Amino acid sequence: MSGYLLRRLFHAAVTMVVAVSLIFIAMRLVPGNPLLARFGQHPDAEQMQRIIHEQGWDQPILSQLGRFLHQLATTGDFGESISRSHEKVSDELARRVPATIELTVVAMMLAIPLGVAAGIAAAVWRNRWPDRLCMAGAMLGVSVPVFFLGICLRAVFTGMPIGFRLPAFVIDFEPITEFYLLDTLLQKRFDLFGTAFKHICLPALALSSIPMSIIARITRSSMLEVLGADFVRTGRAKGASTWRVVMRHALPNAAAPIVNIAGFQIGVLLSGAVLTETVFDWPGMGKYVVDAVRESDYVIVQAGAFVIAAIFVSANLVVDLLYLWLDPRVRHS
Amino acid sequence: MLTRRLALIIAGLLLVGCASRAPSKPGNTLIYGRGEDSKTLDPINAETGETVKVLLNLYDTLVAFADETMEIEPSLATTWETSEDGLTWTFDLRAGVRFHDGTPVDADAVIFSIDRLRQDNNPHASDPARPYKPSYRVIDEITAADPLTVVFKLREPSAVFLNNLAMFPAGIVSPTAVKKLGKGFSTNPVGTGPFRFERWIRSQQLVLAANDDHWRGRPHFDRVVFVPVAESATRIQQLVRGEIHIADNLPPAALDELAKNPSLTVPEEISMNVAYLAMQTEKPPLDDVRVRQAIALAIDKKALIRVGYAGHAEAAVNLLPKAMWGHHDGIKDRPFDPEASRKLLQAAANDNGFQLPLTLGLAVMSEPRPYMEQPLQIAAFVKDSLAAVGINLTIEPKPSDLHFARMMRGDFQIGLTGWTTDNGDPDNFLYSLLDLDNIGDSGNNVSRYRNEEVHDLLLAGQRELDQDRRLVIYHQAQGLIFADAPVIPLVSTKQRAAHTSRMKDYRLHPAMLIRLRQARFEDVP
Amino acid sequence: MKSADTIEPPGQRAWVRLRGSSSARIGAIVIVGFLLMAAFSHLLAPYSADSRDATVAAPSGPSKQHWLGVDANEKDVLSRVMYGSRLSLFAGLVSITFAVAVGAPAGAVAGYFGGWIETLIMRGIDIALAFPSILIALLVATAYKPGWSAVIIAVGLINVPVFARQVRVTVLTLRSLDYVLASRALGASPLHVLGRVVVPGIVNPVVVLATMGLGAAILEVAGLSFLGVGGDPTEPEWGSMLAQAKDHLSTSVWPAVGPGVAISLAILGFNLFGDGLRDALDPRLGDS
Repeated sequence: MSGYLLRRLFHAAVTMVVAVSLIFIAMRLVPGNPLLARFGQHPDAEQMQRIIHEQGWDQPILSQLGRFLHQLATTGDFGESISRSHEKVSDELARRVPATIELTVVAMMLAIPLGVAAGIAAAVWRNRWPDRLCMAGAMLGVSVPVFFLGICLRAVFTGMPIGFRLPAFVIDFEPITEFYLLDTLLQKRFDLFGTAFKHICLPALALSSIPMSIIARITRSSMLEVLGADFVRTGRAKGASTWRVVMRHALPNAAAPIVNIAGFQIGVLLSGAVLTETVFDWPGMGKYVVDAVRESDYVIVQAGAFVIAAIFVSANLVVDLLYLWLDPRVRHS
Repeated sequence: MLTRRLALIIAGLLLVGCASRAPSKPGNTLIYGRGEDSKTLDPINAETGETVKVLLNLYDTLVAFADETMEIEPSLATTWETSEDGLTWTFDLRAGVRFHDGTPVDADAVIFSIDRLRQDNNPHASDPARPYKPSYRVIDEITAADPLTVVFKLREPSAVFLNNLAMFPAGIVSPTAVKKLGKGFSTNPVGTGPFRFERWIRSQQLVLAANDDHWRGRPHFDRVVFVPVAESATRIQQLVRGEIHIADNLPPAALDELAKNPSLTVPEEISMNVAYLAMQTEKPPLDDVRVRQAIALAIDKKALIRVGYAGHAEAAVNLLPKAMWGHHDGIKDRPFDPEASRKLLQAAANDNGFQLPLTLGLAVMSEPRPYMEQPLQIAAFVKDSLAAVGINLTIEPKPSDLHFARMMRGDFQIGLTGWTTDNGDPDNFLYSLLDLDNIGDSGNNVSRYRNEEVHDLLLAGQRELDQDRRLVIYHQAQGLIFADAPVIPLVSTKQRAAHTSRMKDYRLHPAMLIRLRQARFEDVP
Repeated sequence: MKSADTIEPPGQRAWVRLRGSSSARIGAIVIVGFLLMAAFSHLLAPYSADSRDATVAAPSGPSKQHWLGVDANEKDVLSRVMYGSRLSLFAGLVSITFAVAVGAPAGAVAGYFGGWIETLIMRGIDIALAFPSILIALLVATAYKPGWSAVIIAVGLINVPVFARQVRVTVLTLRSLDYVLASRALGASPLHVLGRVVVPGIVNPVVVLATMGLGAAILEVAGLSFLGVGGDPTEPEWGSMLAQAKDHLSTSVWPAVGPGVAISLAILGFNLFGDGLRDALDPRLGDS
């Protein structure tokens, strides 16, 4: 068991280092000079050349990569943005990563219970209207692109705030963890909690649609499998209520594939977050990295890539462990 | 059943969200919604309009542009005089002015600030990227005659020197703060302006507070909060909901909608900018003046103003905006005449041996600029117009910085670009954008227009200090340029913004200088 | 695969099931509809993709002349949605073909030969999957010369792991089947086994995946051009149309509705058809 864990951890670390190195190299091969962003319509070739030399951006890619990995390993520092003067990338990420994670978590908190509930309903009332309704909804849910859904939500719920995590006039709020929903509670600012919640509603809803639909479908099929199993049939024959059978016997046994697919959705969610953040002007990491790719600000891209890969790999690790714990067959083998 | 319970919980959560009362707004804080965040707060490193917007309220310069014109008026300097040969400028400083950190403004502070901007290896320039450094090349030496008198020695006479001192890069900074903070100064600035810095959370909030001791008197707002909101549709929604008080950089058609809203005001002001079509004149087929003229004849500027600017722009005939001193209004524009355009193009094709339709690339920036709020729409219009006369364009959008860089490299065929005045002088348009000195990787003569006659005129214009004689020179240059058609000027835009009607005395400046010191809320005494 | 020993040919049974599936039928109708729209947009569209109508406010909602409204360029949204189906379907098709052409052999090789080559391929896939696909696509599309071909390659690349994974798993299963083991033991060459058993065995799952993948690819192409990476953004293409409409939401939401519904419908069509196909080809996965 611990051997397995160690192997998984090692595996994850190697994947990350290789992945980040590849992104690092790819970014250097992208044409474009991120310094241009600082000069705009007033560039000065002489000054730019000097800065490039000072920063070592004219050295071979591999030695730059070595320097980056060394700096990261020893100080944990990602460096400063190239396109904006003296912007510390770690500071930015420290604010933006929580914003994205908060959005993703709220989306998952919508997607998992609603998806599971819809899946159960569909399985229990199989081939009847709740099934048809839920599955049609799920089909639609996976088909509508998140950026179009976002636009629709914006157009329909014009009363909901968008664009900030808190209104701009709140200038006396000092976040602790940068997870606003948590921070407002910790500081007992319940009015602000409500406001922050309102701000996150629409983007989270848009983001949750695809995982919710997928979870509903998986729940349905794995519930159907379990509901057909002997022990469930026996339980039902003995007169246990449907509710009891579902909650006591069927759901725990159907949980493993659901957890698995929920974990798999993290990738989908991060992809979706990039687009959702664009539509709703959510100040998260996705938009930050996308803008940096377009300006070829490689310092930001490689830092962002590192963080994203880290989230991804650790999320998968957690899911693996959960899976291990939930599925007795895997546990014993 | 489970679904029902869940639905209840969700509904409950939503109710909590909706029922909670928004915290009361501080009454005298202006919230300014804009498309992008500042990139720095250090004036020497600034370039973009969004960055400059904040600096204008944080710093003062020696001399300043007037409230609504490009006239130069006293600011930190009360009087100044020029030597006979135009090489020595002496400025008397305002007495008793203090920086936001309490240190006094004296000749040394002025020398420190300008040297930081112009010297190659100045130790106090923590970021060597200084986009406007070349504009101050003409300064040879700055000395202090006494604590309140500064003397500038120039390498040669310059007609634009004084205007350049009124530009934001020459903002006077506190030497004490710069020395103490080093590169931290760029996020913790200290100037003398009407507002002082309070806090900056990048990409979220930039807060300025009133400078109670400003020499012009205290500004009306207690605070100004700049918030970056990338999507214009979001800014509009926030403005309508009252979450922000003013928004700029909005699509023209949307502004027309907002103007109908009684609780909003949409001021409009001319602006000294120009949007134009640049053509790579070094490479065929655009090296042939007939092809360039044909393109000019194919574009219906009236329709362009309707589609791309919702009517809020003026057709431009030459690069120098109508509103600017030096503009030659005697030049008559080429008419919109697709028939003539086709003929001209055919003639050029026959002589040069190319086939029609021509296939060319049209380079365009993907983000809005003040002179072009909707670049892709303009690009689509140009594409459709030229398709009608036998030129098929492929549109090649790029983020602004990459776009301008590729145009300067000459790596394009036709490109959309434009310019907003820096200092209100014709030299800033004609020399910067069309002189052969400015051809190259970092030169703004992107058309690579070479005309020795124009070059001589433009150099003479820089050194001539007599305004009447300069006017003659610039008129002559504009005539020559129009005939050669290295660029096709499209429009000068009207600058507009939308703000709550509660806000009064907010004045737009023709050079798009956003200065908030006089603006106020009508219901705040 | 399982039904090799039954009397009725498996293809025929699958066909019967497919025809009986309502989701497959709806999906097929939608797909055929889009294919017709793409092929005949020059006949079906009320206007050309680039004709401007100066007489209406732009952008604005549906009217008698413009059923889906006009966009900010004074152009008819319905016509542009129709012409836009060409690029979307084409880009989706080419990128999925690319993904299958690269991913399926890679997965087959990994599954069949195992060893270091499998490790290499699977690690590569792990690394690719450690990032959101849209980010990789963005990177590829930016690095390559800008244009639709860059988008197609990028979308193709991010779909390679999908096919490689599935094919590998299928091959692993097939390899351990008794008769495959037997024929190998009897000295059949690996090529013979690959050609006779493995290739037919992986066709079904690949077809199902590719059908659903087409929907995903259309989505990804639109997503990239929505983010501003793509070819000429003034060409009729659903993603760029949405991106432009987004800037004018406060004036009119209509220009967003046409392309948005078109993307959703196209994806829905491929998903429904793919679902039906999967149930028909592999009855174990279905529930009837």
